[in-house]
Amino acid sequence: MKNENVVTIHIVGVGGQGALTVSKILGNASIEKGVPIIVSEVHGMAQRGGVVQTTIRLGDTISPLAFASDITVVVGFEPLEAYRAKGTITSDTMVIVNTDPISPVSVSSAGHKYPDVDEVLAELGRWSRKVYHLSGSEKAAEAGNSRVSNVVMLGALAGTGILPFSKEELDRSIRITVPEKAVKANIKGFELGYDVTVQ
Amino acid sequence: MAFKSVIEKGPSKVYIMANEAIARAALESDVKVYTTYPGSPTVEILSTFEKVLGHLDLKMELSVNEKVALETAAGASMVGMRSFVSMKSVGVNVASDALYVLAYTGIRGGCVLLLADDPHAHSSQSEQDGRWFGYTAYLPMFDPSSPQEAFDMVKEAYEISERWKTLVLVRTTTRINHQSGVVEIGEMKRTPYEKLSWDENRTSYNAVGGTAREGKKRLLKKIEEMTVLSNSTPLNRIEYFDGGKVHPGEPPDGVEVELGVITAGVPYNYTIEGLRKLGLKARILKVGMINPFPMDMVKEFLEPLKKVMVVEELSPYLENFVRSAALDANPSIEVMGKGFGPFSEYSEYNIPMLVEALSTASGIPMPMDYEGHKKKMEGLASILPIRPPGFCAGCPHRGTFTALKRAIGKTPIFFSNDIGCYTMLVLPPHSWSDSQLCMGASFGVAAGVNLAAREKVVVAIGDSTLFHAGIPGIVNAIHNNHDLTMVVLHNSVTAMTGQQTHPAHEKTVGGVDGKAIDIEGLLRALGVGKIVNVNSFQIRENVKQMKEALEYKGVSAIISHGECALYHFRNLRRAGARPVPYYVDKDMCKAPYNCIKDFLCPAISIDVDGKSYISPDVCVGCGECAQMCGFGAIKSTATLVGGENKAYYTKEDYDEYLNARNEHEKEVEE
Repeated sequence: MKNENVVTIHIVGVGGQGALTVSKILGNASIEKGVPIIVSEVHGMAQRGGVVQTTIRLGDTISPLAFASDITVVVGFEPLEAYRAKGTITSDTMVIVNTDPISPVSVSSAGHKYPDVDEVLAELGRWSRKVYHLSGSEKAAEAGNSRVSNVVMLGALAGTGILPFSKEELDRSIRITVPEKAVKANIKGFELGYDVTVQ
Repeated sequence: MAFKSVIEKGPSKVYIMANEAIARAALESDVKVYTTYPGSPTVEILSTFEKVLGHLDLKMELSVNEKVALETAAGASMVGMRSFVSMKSVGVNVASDALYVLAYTGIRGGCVLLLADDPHAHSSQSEQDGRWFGYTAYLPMFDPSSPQEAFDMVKEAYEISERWKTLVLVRTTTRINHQSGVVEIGEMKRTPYEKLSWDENRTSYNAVGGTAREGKKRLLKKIEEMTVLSNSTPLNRIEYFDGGKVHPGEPPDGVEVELGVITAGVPYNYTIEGLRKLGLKARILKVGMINPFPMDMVKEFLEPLKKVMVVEELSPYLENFVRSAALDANPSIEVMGKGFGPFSEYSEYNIPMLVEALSTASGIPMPMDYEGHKKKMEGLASILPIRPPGFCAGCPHRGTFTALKRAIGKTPIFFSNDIGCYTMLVLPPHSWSDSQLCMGASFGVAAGVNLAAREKVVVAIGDSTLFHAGIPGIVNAIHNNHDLTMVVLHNSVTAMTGQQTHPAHEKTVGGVDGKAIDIEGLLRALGVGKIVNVNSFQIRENVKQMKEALEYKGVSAIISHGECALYHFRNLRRAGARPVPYYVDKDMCKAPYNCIKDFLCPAISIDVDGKSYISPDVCVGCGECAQMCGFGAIKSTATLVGGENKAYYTKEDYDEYLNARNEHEKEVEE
């Protein structure tokens, strides 16, 4: 049985990309609105450039992990990691990809090949319900702070309309979550991401 | 922000990580002494306490190892203060010598040990099941399944600790520690930190021979009394799942429920999700206090059932109790535990495993072709480039091991590795380590290899690990005339776990002055015959010096000095300085990839033109790679604007560089 009352977001990326801040913003929005939230992270050696996976579940569940077909949206902070997460994508899943590659050392040193980003997007498109893509770094630069591409991705997630929060509610949550001096760039980044996916 | 939630007055509902909730619970319990040795997945408990230090009245120590951490917490408790100690699964092995005796002696002030297991060994050397510590040491133990329960159980642990004068264990797993959610916290009521009088409260905390036997008798009586509690506490509870929702207590009269599930920890959450996926009814016994085990409660639960599923990760801890209870209460019951469907003692459980097991048990089909899906996933994994963790840009270890490999050359060696960032040498694409067991094991293993193998033994050990458990192994090697060369990676901090200070640092936790222990002086005093000090970043110069140490017969040491990059550049940035990146002069690059092969810096890759490329966003200007290039093609970007070819600049230098760089860029554009 599909639990229609739960939105499950699976964020995949590389250590240091700021998935934790995104889950904190959603956490604070959840408190304000009374939406149950569970966030589970695997970040054992994240700071050393390893893979980071975050599962965020909003709604009526107590399980930090989800069944593959229950994942509402996969947010790839990095294209190769989005591709690697293909196993969690079914025909019901929506995918949002940041198209800025971060090349693992195995590509430069061990002769592995980094997959072509356009092919990655095409392949993800064959598997999923809908694929959105954007360059987080371009939008972040436009927002005036290269480090806000994580919140750009949150904006793109919010723009799809699948979150149980309005744009204003998330705007408020960003303001109470990020450091004061970074609020302006984060809000701008959020809006730029939002505009990519909003209908 | 989460930290505000940890120190706010409360009561309130806050969004925090379980590790923060655990720290909050200890603080609400008026803990006065907190000790720890860093280890994943418990580090956020440590960092939360560290941040609290300036706000609340308590003492915190980063102990030299977990054994000392537990003993320190126990000492404070003997005097009458409440204390708290946290450590990772394998840390308890180190502390266990004290742990087993503390059970006998008992304590006075509430004393709680949080131990965090790591099924799947995300960041540990084994999947050790810490639940057996509670059982074999006769200590009460809790096993929470959510951040809220972790919070509640730590608070309850203090009540039990003082009521029975016993150390209490709270056991978590990685999936609990790193889970965030909404937690209802209580009111922060703290009393001032004031030293107490030992003399007025003198009690005997000894155990040997007759006193040990007396202690054991007291211990068994405590466990008997606590078993009554375990059979009645609401932390062990019966629930009914009606196919969609959980209800407390037994199913309503007239409702037939065939399946029973006994579970604890995070597998409880997976069980509920699995039942909901299949719309299956079940009676559930959720065990929160796992030692002493609620045997009577389990017997009563088993009586009306035809089959019971036991859902737990790692060893069959609950299952052994359940099978033994079934012999009395319901011998014909079918117990579905380890070996049933996908259930095994290997790794973590997950939702698909639960759905599959419940589907097999109930005959309700899986909601999707999961096997087919899994096959696709496995096929996919084999074709994608891997992303193993590796040394950071600017890491001193990269320089140390590059020089060491050159110094060793083709001579066959046994490389005895230890625990720290350098443990990653075992991973591809390095794949360079012959043995690595646990903290400090490199020296003991080296001694045995010395006895058995003809080859030279080289040991690698970090500064923090050397203090933690390395010293006895060094003493042993020197006394027994072993022949080995140790490389001490002196990077100033416990790097892997988040750059905490350690005994060779001039600061203790919270920025307080401490006495820095001189590693070279220590090794000299122990009798290390040959010691060379090198700067980790000077690869070429170091090769010769390292060779001298390697050629020495007896115990020699190479102390490689270079601060952890994460620590170093964080401090630099805070001081207002910025690193100046290096770049590849494309006209000079002949693309032999010496800066890439075996060097593996995350800042360097192969450009579209086939030549090397340094990402200015990732490079921190350590300059190690420039020494790898035989053509002099790698230079500091400072040289583009007439600056020196050096590693980084201070605030003043940096401003000067930046102005020159801006000018230069304008000129290039024109």
